[in-house]
Amino acid sequence: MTIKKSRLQPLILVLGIALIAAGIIQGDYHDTLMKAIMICLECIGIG
Amino acid sequence: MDKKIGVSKRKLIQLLSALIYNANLKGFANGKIYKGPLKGVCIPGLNCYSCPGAIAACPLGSLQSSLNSIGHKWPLYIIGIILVFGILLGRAICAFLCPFGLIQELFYKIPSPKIKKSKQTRRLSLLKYGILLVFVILLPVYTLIQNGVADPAFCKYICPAGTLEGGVPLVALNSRLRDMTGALFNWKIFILSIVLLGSVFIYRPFCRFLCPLGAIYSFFNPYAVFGVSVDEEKCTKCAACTRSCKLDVHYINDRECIRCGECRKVCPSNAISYFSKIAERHRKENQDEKI
Amino acid sequence: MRKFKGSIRIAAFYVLLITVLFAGCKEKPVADQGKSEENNAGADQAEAGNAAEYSELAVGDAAPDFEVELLDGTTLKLSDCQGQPVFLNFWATWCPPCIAEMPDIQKLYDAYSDEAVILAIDVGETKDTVSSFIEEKGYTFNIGLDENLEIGKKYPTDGIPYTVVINSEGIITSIHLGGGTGMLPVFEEDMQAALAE
Repeated sequence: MTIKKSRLQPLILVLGIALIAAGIIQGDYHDTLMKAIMICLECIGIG
Repeated sequence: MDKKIGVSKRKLIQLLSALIYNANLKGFANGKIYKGPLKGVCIPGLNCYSCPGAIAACPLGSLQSSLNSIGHKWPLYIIGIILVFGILLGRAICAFLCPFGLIQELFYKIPSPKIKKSKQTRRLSLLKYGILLVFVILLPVYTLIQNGVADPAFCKYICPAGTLEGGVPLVALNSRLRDMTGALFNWKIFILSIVLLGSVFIYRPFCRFLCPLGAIYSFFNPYAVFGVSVDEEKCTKCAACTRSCKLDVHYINDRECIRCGECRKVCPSNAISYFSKIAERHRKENQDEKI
Repeated sequence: MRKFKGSIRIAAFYVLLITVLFAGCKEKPVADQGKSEENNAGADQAEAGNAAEYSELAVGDAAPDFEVELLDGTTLKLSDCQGQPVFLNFWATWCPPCIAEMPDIQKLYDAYSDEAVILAIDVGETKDTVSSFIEEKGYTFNIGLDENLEIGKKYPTDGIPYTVVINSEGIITSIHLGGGTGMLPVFEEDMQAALAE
């Protein structure tokens, strides 16, 4: 069990970092930024 | 002595993280949100990007709004961020790095009769997975299909953190916004009031029963690098730990464990400690070498 | 020592966070990049707050001039619209209330396009995203593109939808922050008020 878990950790960490990079390349960081600085007011419950 | 320091250390980290997430203090003065590039980065806990002080984005809010593009691309960036936070810390984020968790704990300090955990609360702890499924995933996708644009249903209808940190300050400081508030805002205030009131009598009710972000991180708990562990050799199976734990745990370090460290305080055999799996592996390797 | 290993990890996380924070805290609002100083609106508007801050517009202010690329490729300049009221709406394809009020904006356009300019400026998105969205919906009023938030910074707002109605002399007569369904009576009222002046 412990061995399986310890293999999983670096795997998921690397996968996570890879996804972050892939996401930035496909424009996700920009999208997140736009939505965080031009807030859709109803989306946060003001309306 | 150590253990006492441990508890207040956690509070200190909670306070520090709340301050860092909301470092844009001038936002509170003029009622305007921060618009710098850091806003495209997510912090691990629940801190709404509509908070005038917020310097970064909430992972849950970003996840929901990213579903707008689900038709042509997967939200890789957000998923990656959640994977990294989850595998490193699991629900330690809840105990150390979430301002709304801190607020609930502060309300709990108000003297009152307290409602202890039970079989019912353990069952209720499953509700947050339902909220995750319905409000964070299904409803946004449904509204996307219906209207061509995804409603971030959790942020819109439920999230009390957003109401407290963003809705209330913005509406208070911006008269034009005040004119636009109607039934939805009143509903959100109602939810917030229930949660805060509940926090006086129940320990962290939002975290235990409602928070979809906690639900997401809970999947990482058995595998996270940072967690709580029991030294089997010292453990006498007295169960003082699970009994004293204010969360609905079945065993130490399970999915409800937020790594608050209280169990370390009460263990009569001193068998429980924080750990990181990497440190443990090094320790084991060193022991083997010595032999 | 073992008990503090976890704390070390958390401390490391904080060092990282604080470093990132100071890096990002050079206070360069994204909307301010490439900021031009030709904000020829009323002097009061160009002033309030320091250079990195932006002051929100109020009713009675002169509407800041701008030039925007429309979806059909032409350019529209606000000052060219002198003599006609202008209905200005800031929106995005991912913003549900913005989309919800578009049918009302279409109705407004159908009723007033001879006497006024109806312009909905999309913020922060590419031309492709906007055009495929509008094509699908079939709206006919003017759609402007503000991908880099250049125009947005002259009309600073924390949120969308953001509607600014300007009369034929270039003075702002009404502002709405937020919107959604049921905005038609409000828009009509604004339009009448702007035409009346």
